[in-house]
Amino acid sequence: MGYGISSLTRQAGGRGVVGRLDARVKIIGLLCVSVYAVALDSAVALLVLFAVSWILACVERVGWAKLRLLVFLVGLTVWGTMFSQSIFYFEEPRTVLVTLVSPETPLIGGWTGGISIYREGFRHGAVQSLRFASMMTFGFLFCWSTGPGKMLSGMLQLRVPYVLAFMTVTAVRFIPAVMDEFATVILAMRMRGGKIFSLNPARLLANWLKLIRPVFINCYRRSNILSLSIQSRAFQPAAARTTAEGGRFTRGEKVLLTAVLLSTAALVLLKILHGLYLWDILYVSRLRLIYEISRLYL
Amino acid sequence: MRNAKRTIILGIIAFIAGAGVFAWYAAAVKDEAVPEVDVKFIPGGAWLSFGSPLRLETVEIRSPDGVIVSQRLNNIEKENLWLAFDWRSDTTYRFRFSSNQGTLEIKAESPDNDYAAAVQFSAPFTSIAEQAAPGIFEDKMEESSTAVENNELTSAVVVTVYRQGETVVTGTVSIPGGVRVAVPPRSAGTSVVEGEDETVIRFGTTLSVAYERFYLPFSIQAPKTGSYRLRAEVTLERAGEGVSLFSREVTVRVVEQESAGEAVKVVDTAMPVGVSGIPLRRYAEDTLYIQPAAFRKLGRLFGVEPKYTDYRHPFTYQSLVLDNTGTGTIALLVSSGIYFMDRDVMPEAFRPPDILTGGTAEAAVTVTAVLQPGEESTVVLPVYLSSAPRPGEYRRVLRLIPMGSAAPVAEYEFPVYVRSMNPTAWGFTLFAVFLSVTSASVFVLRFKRIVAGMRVRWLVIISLYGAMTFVVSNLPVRIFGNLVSALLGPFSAFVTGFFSELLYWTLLVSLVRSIPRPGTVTFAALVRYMLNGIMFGGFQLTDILFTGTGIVAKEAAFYASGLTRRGEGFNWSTPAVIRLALCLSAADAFITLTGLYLHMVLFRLYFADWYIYMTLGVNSLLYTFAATFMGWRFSERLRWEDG
Repeated sequence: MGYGISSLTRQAGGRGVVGRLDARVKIIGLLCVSVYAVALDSAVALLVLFAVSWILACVERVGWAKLRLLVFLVGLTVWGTMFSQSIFYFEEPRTVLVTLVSPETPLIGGWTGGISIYREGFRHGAVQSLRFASMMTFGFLFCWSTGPGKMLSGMLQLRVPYVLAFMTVTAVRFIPAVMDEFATVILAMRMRGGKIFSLNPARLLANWLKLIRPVFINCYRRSNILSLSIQSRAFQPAAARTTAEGGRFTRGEKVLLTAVLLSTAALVLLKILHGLYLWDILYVSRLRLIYEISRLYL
Repeated sequence: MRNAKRTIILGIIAFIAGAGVFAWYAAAVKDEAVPEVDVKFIPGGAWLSFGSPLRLETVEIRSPDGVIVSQRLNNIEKENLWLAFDWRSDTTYRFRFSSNQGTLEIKAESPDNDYAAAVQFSAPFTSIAEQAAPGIFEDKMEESSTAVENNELTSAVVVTVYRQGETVVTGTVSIPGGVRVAVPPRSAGTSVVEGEDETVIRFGTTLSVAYERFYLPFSIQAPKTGSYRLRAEVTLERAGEGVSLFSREVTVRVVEQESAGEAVKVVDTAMPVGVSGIPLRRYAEDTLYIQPAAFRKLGRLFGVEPKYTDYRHPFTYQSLVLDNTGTGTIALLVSSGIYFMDRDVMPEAFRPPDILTGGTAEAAVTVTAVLQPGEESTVVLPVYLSSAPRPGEYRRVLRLIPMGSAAPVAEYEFPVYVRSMNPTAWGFTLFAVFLSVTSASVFVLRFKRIVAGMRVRWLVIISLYGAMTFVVSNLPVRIFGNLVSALLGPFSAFVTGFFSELLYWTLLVSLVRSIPRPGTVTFAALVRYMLNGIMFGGFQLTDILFTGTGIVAKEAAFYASGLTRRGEGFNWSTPAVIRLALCLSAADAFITLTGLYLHMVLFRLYFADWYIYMTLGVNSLLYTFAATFMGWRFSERLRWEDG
């Protein structure tokens, strides 16, 4: 896979701790981390989650180039969230830094109620962006520490349907071909003085349609050939098939998986109890310690 | 063996002796700690005075007929306790108290006849509803109070008779020199005689009905600091009973504004609290949780909420414990208001009801408090809420204003956190969870049937579409989306929507035209999700919710438009494509709305309503509508390619 995205998605060798883990452990861990990222409320807890993701990324030795790229992407994500929240921040107090649209502006001012950039929104956006940043870092860490083959075999061992795995592998195999086709068509367009990007939306759309159409037609032809080739090998999507036994987890992986699953379940339980208490649905006085822990630290 | 026996016996003796000493000590301490109680029966109840302040837990009064009062006092520290009950003359009552110093039961006999009259001289005088001091039935009574220089101090003589029959009331109030009568009494039969040494207010009236009262309110003003003794002499004359004389003295210590502030301290404050000032420990301190209207409606449905919202009823209460460290009684106005954090403006939602206008007023809630010297008293103030305030942090400002003054002697600020939930966002999130779980269940249960109907060629084409949408839609959004988002902030959605909406829907429409059957969109979405997971580690909870909701909405839209229902029989005419475009736009609007609300709930982000409408208008309606027609044209070439 080329054209720049390889540096973004290719496995870095899996030399670190995460790389040695079973793909199933990583997939389940990634799901649990995403639960953490949405369940936690405390800024400190989110910061800890983000710090853990970066410690693992650094320990994993994925290479400076990848880390730099990750820093860049995380930085953009954080800034983007801060920017959007500085406009939409809804809580009190709100300190106006810049008024973009005054409420007195005809039509748009009345409709929007005024658009301003609020100082507190930047802080709120910075805290909340830690969720995206943590998930993004863990996600890329997963990609860089696991080869596509191992990922797919891990998913198959996690009972992902074979047909879906087959289609995913096929799609993965198509991506370089699609990219090659794009590169060829873009080159041809440029040689004829055409441009891909334009500030005029209509022209941009027309250019991209011109670009996509030949690429797609060519790939469509290839897919027909590929399907004929697969059919000629008597492949049946619905046919029953044997699957290889999944490799056993090591003791360390079992401990890690148990700890991650239990802590996630505990977190979810605590947050549900706290949520029920918060909205006056269920209050048990004996659980006050749990409510306090949930409110102050989670 | 013998030694062992001896050791055991000695041990038992030592244990019994130790237990005995402990029991004796505990009993002695308990006896010592139980304070003396003085019971004073007055009309309408009894005053109980303790030798030292007590934290009372419960109090119970028994008459010969049984229990007549049983009250829980929640460990509030008291030196005097007023118990309201209708006592009978010449009857023995048992008072039982449990306190932090043990349980005490005393007997007290009510007087054989009622009191004839009560004379109260209050400076300051706060309210007719104020509880009278126990000494108002005595012939003589002395009190002290504190006032602020130059402030008007409302004072009053209140005479109450408790017997039927004519009683002639006459009296004088002597006010020493240096104290001015700012507002003279306006009652009939009164006169003010100003002298050099003192000012005398003379009054006279006739009371004839039991429990009839005579009020003589007036205001005084002391321009200089110092100690001033005010004296009231009241004579009651009843036919056949002779003359009763009552003498009252109040020493008013006039101090500077600063000194008054130093005398009164706020020891503690809490919010939310109950109506009696007991903190509601189930709620976080200084935090108000505003429940959505839907919860209240449910509460009304189940009968646990009042049928109608009464904004005159307090939302909750706040309490503050005041301590008068001075040597005189001080009367205060305690006011409280909740203001914006960054400005002295009261939010509309926190404005208390205005009885005069029937609406709300931008005014602080004010209650009166009279503190005896050394008294620690809890003041409870209501907190009103007329609408849902914006979540965030506010200021709760408490002001202590001496009676007759406009300027506060002390001002305190405490934070108020308002928490609320967005019911629409939560509704969409829960619906998204439901749809995802449902679509996953349907997919698992009907998986074999769905796969059995799929040809290998179709699966390969769907894979190709997956790769294509990944390259055309996901990849640019992932790479350039962050950059555009950093530059344009929330408005980047309209730029990235070109890739994520316009091109994506174009490809999807052409795919479904090639394979017009239910399940096509499901497989295409799942391949896209898997690719996203493999390439960017997108096996996230939110991705599962987005994908699940998207599958249901898109499949439903294609089916409703007739494309996957009729299959090859679908008529690709302009009206049919417009219908298809409308269905897909509606589906995309739902998916976009769910996406935004999922961000609001799961990632605690905010989006303005106008932004949501704009995103729906541009991304969901405009782009998707256009994409449907582009997909139609695009698929024409594919059909030609298919031959």
